[in-house]
This record gives sequence, structure tokens and C-alpha cells, in this order.
Amino acid sequence: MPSLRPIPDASPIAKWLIAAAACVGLLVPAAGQRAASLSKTAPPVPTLASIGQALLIQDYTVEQFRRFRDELGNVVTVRERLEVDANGTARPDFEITFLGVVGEPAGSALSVEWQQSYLRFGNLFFRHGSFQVRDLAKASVNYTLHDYGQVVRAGRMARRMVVFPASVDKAIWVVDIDSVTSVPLFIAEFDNSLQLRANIEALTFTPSVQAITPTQAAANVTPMTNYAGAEAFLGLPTGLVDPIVLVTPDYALERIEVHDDPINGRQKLVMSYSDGIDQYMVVQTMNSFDPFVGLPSAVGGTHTIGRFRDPALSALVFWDDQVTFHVAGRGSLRRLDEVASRIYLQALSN
Amino acid sequence: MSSGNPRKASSPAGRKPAVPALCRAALREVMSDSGKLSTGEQGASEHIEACGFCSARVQARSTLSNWASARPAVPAVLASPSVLEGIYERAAEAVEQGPISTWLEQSVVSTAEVAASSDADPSFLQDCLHESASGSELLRDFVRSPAQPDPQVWNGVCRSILEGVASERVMRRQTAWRVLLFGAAAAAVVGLLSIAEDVPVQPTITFADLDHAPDVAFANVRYGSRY
Repeated sequence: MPSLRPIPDASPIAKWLIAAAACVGLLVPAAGQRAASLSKTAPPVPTLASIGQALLIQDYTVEQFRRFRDELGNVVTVRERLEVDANGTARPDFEITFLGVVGEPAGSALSVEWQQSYLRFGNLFFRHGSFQVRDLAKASVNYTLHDYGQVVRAGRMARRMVVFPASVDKAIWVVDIDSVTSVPLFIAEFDNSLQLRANIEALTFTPSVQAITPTQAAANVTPMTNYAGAEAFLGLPTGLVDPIVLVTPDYALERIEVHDDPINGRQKLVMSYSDGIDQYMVVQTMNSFDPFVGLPSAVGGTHTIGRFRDPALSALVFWDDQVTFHVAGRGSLRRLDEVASRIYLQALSN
Repeated sequence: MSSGNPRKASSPAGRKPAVPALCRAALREVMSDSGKLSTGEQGASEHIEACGFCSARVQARSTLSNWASARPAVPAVLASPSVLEGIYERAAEAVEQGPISTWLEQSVVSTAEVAASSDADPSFLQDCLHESASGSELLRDFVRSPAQPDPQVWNGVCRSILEGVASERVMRRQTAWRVLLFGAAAAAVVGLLSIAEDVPVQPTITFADLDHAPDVAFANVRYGSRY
């Protein structure tokens, strides 16, 4: 067995020289890389402003995977094609086409189901299911953007960014932003326990678009400028309220629409609130029946709010004076309980 | 310490020592009012001889009995008139400092001057008799009607009393009005409450957890197909 001979101590001068040489050895290649990168004119780091601007001006066509997680936690990956024709507004024309369910043969029951879903809700998938900077001023206040370096996505250079909320009850976003167009090529939504809740992954990207047939909402949608206009449009029905949502001061009214449901013919007043990136909705459906009548909780003069909550969705429903109210948002936004309570009290006091 | 000493055995702290019944009975038996010791019963004699307390008492009695039986004579000097007069003068001087002399000085009835006593002046005695008569009149007046105070002072007192009474009357009147008004207000409030419509009470809101997400657009966004 070879004996372990002690290594003779080097002199202090020798140690210093070795350390200096090691530092030089590490720094020179790094400096060389930096010089090389600078020489390639690296694209600027995306900002919330550039991401929001892309929505207004950038035409593009992308094939992508959109992954859904159902109430049971099962993940379904759907392949789709999205064509966006920017029109200078925050609501560009677009066409979303169902291509198939990954792992499912064409024509299978599941594929047919999802095809029907895309026909009915495709409009919602793009408008409300993607990462968008809806209000730059509010997004700048309520979120911070962190750069995590360059990546390659869909064969293109992109920048990995993390969008961190200022409030703990909102989603954390990891987005790969196309370095040229600032269009998100990869979107991952995490809840506050760092569980993945939604995902969109671009497979191919083309910064242009052919003539499209814009995908319309299943319902006949009429945009409104304000609540008074919507109320007048609906004929001043009783039971309708202008929601007071002071509980969520970081959210502002983004959009008001009147939907005519083609299935049952009921009209709905849909009001969307946004903090710049996140959203929740207050929907008032007229001429509806009380879903809680006859339930034990409805006895004794108490008023019931039905609540469904899981990590992905918070949905609250209540009824008063022929109007069914829905308040819905992401699962972590528990303040929606208070929003629903206050709107209910508002409706009861009218 | 004698074992038969009853004092230490039974005396409570700070009080006159209690005489045990046995000693009391023995002493009563032996001693008599004449001061002479009687023979008494044999048991009593034996007790006294044995008890230090009782033997001391018996010994003291034999010494003090002579002195207690003889009444001492009054000293002759106390019987002299000058000593008595001195006592009376000291008593009068003590009264002069009191409220009676003040009243006498302030009274309307003039008091006669009392001259120095003189045995050689018989008219003094008549004057004294005369004075004593006026003194009795003075007493009668004192009893019948007290001395009247100064009118100005008395008016001031009357005025202040009347003002006090008047202010109390006003306060009582005001308090009565206040009570009346308060009662009327309370009655009005009760009456209004009884006839007023029901004040709406804050509704009670309860949350009922649902098994499935309701049919809302946001649920479709999150879950996609919900068939």
C-alpha cells in the first residue's frame, strides 16, 4: 500500500501566483464570450411595455400546444393553430383552429369533444387564457419582470422572463418572449404553491398572417362603454347592479359586454376586471331562477352564495331578483369571496 | 417561683390578675370586716399557709387595717374663710373666660359693677341682694327671649337664607321640567319606534361549497372542455 506522503507546503508567493493564474484563466474566456455576444448586437431585454406593444402591432401565426388541467387534475394537451391580425387595439382579430388532442386519434370521442369546445370557447381561450399585458400602467405597479437569460424556442431566440406579482394571491408567470417580435412563445402559469396551472408552448412561429376568418364568440357579444349604457341597452331591468369592487383596489374595470346566449337566449352582462395581467369576471344573467330555492341553507332568511374553489378556479354564484350572479377568477384569488358578499349585499339592498 | 402562685398561672396579659376561686374563698373565710383574722375552716387556713398569694394578702391586711379604720381629720387651714374665698374667686375667674361672660358683656341689660367685698360696709350686702334680684330678672329675660342680633346683620342672614331657598325652588322647578321633557322625549321615541316600519337588518350570508364548478366562462377558460 503506498504510503501517504505529505505534500510539501508551497510558499505564499507561489500560492498567490497560482490563484492569479486561475483567475486569469477563467476571466479571459468569459471576456471573450462577452465580447462575442456584444459583437452580435444582442436584442434588448423585453419589458412589459414591449410585450404589450406586440399585442397591438404584431401579426403572427403560431402552432402550439395548449395544455389544460381539469378539475380532477388530469392534463390534456391540445394542438392548435393561432393566427393573429393586429389592428392597433388590445383586441386584435384572430382565428384559433383546433388541430387535435395529443395522443388521441382524429375523430375519437375526446377529440370531438375538444373540437366542440374550441368552436364554442375558442374565443375565450385566446382572450382570457393567454399571457397578455392588458393594462401597462397597472401591470407595472402590480408586477415585476425578471430576466433569466436567452433561450431557444420554436427555433427562435427568445428571452426567458419571470413575471412576479406584488400580491401573494396571484399567479407567477414564466414566459419565453421572442427576441424579435416580443410575442410570448412559451407561457407557464404557476400558482402560489408553484404548481403548474396552465401552459402554452409554441412549436412553430411565423411573424406574419394570411387572411383570416376571425373567430367569434359563441354568444352574440355587444361591447359597452360603461354600466349605464349596458343597463339602458338591456332595458333597465330590475335586479341588475353596478358592482362595487373596492375589496380589490389593484383591479380596475377592463371591459363591459352584453352576451346573448344562443342556447337559452338569456342575456348576460359580463364585466371584466384586470390588474394589468390577471383577470376576474362578474357576470349577471337576467331572467333566471334561484338555484338555491328549497335548500336547507336558504331557510330562515339566510342568503346563500355557492362557492367552488380549487387551485385553478374560484367561482361564486348567488341569486337575487331574477338575476343570477357569477364571480369567477383564479383559484388563489380568495378575495373574490368578499367581492361576492358585497355585491350580494348591494343587490339585496336595491 | 412558687408553684402555688396563682397569678402567673391564670393572669391574662395586660389585665388585673384574676384571683382564683379557691384563694377568694379562703380569704373571705379568714378575713372579716373588723380587720381581725378569724380562724376560719381548717382547709382555708391550710390553703393560706400554703398559698403565697393568700399569705401575702393576709400579712398586708394586718398592716393596713388600722389605717383604713381611722378617718383622718380635715386640716384646719381648709376651714378658714380666706381659703374659701380664694376658691370662689378662682372659680369666678375661670367663668370670666367662658361664653357666659361674653354674653353678659353683650347683653342689653346692664350688669351692675360688683365692688370689692368689704365686711365693714353693710350696704354692700343690700347691693348684692339688689343685684341678685336684677340677676334673676336677667336670667328670666335670657330664658324668655334671647338677645336680638344687629338688624343689618340679621337682614343679611335673612336675605341669604331666602336666596338659598329661592334657588332651590328654581332648581326643583327646572329639574321637574327636565324630567318632564325627558319623559316626553322617551315616550315620543317609543311611540315612533312602535309605529315605524321595520328597520332592515343586515342580511346573513352563508357560503355553500359546490362539488363542481358552475357554468361560467372562466371555468371554460381554465378547464377547456367540460362535457
